[in-house]
Amino acid sequence: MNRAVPDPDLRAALTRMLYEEKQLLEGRLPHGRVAAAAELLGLSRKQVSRDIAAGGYMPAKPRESSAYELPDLVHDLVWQTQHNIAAIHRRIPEAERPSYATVHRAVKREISRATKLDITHGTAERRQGELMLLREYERPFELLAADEHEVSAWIRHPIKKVPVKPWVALVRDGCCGGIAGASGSPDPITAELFNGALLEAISGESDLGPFGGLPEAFQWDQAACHTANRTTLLVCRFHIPVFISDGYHPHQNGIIESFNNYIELDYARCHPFYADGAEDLRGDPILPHPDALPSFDEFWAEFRAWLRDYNHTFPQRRRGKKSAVAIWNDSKDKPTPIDPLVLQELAA
Amino acid sequence: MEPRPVKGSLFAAAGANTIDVSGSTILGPLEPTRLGQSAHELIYLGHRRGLHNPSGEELLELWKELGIGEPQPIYWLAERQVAVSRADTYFNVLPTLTQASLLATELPLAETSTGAGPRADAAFETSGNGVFLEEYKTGRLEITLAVTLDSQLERLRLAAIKRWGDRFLGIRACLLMAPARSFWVYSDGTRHHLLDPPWGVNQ
Repeated sequence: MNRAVPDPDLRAALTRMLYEEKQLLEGRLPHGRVAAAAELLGLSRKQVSRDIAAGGYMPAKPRESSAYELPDLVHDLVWQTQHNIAAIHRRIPEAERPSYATVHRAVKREISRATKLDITHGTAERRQGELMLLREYERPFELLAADEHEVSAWIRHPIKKVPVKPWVALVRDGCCGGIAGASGSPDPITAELFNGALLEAISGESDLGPFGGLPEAFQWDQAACHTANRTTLLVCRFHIPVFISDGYHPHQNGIIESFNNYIELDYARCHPFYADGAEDLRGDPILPHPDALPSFDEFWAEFRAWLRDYNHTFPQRRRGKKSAVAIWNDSKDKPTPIDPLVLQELAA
Repeated sequence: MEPRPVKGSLFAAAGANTIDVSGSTILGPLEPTRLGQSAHELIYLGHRRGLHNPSGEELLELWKELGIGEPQPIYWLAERQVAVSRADTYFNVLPTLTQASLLATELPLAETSTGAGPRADAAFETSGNGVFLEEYKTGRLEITLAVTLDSQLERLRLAAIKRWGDRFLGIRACLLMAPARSFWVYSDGTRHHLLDPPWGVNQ
């Protein structure tokens, strides 16, 4: 049963008064007095009786400081130990040592990711980190990042009829974090499919969310489908600058690269045919029978539904835990929409 | 300049680390970690061809004329895309130079004791006998860019005033990776946006 939370001052005053009355009556407080107080406060009679027995309700004092602040010593230790939290925890004097979790939380809160990169990888990496990982894009479609990913789930190849892992190309907005465009294939992504995902993202006609418009920049890595003639002509058609990350530096892809991890954790591991699951004694995957596997169309319908769900419900931590669609809808600075005639021309 | 060997990359694996950018005077061999090096050359070539608002196809054809060769390794495709994208921004997004003719590219403006004086990416002469310079930035939006660009433009401005005097009009700083942030530096040091930024804030 849901009860309204009683006013703590009223509860304290009333139960204190009943406690004093009980003292006067030598412990023989009439049952009706407790019942009336419980009804007034919206509490159970048992709870009111407990308050009276304890000498009246005492409101909980607010905690003076809920967060453990790192002393200067720990700031030095962060550098000395190369950001090793366990080593930091060990080196704090035992008398003032909080729990490991408290130190971990405090270091995570007080030491910025840029400083961490500086400590562990040096200044150059920190600059890259500030640029690629930490920059918050203020306007929707200020940057659209794209990448392809092999999903760790078995499906049945439509022609070869063998288990394969499907490929998806995703386009993600740097501001709201929503997946604005997607395309998929049982085979590796081609330039045509990649361009399809880009066009879906900017067309404004996607069923993934309300996204659409001309971005201020694209970002992707050096995959062949990204740098193909077809893609180059598409970006020249709209005069959009392209940023390409350095080879062997996937962290520069930032927001889209980190989404691969989310696919793995939230989609693939929940899939009945998770591809990094059962292995034989030699470490080779135990392949399911192809007839038991979903077709690519079934996978794609399910995956798009999962993407829609992500856009509409997943709380984006950097933006007040609002969903990507809510952030997009709340934004007053929408990108320039594309002329539908241009889209028709490109589709043709 | 002796080409620097590049280890562990597709570029090196293709044996391409000894190939120079044709006609380049300062860029040297392509480096996999510095995409967009050939964008300058592509823009110079576009100027020499008298391009105005070229399409993507024209720019891809122009890339072939640079003589870098048919791009085969993945790194070359990335380099080509960045260079074409930057040249496309330069010719199609920034205001077209209709009343000016190209004077020189990679023009050294002064000699210092170390030999490394300020060097303008491109110099133009206007129909009214004025001269202005262009500085292209094609890489990423580095955090340190603002500081280095400020000092570079100041050195260029002082050297240009010394060389051309009253004929010098200013410098067009073309930030091709973020064209809305491109700006004019006039000969007196004041600045003005080349384009109105889409978010309506003057920096």
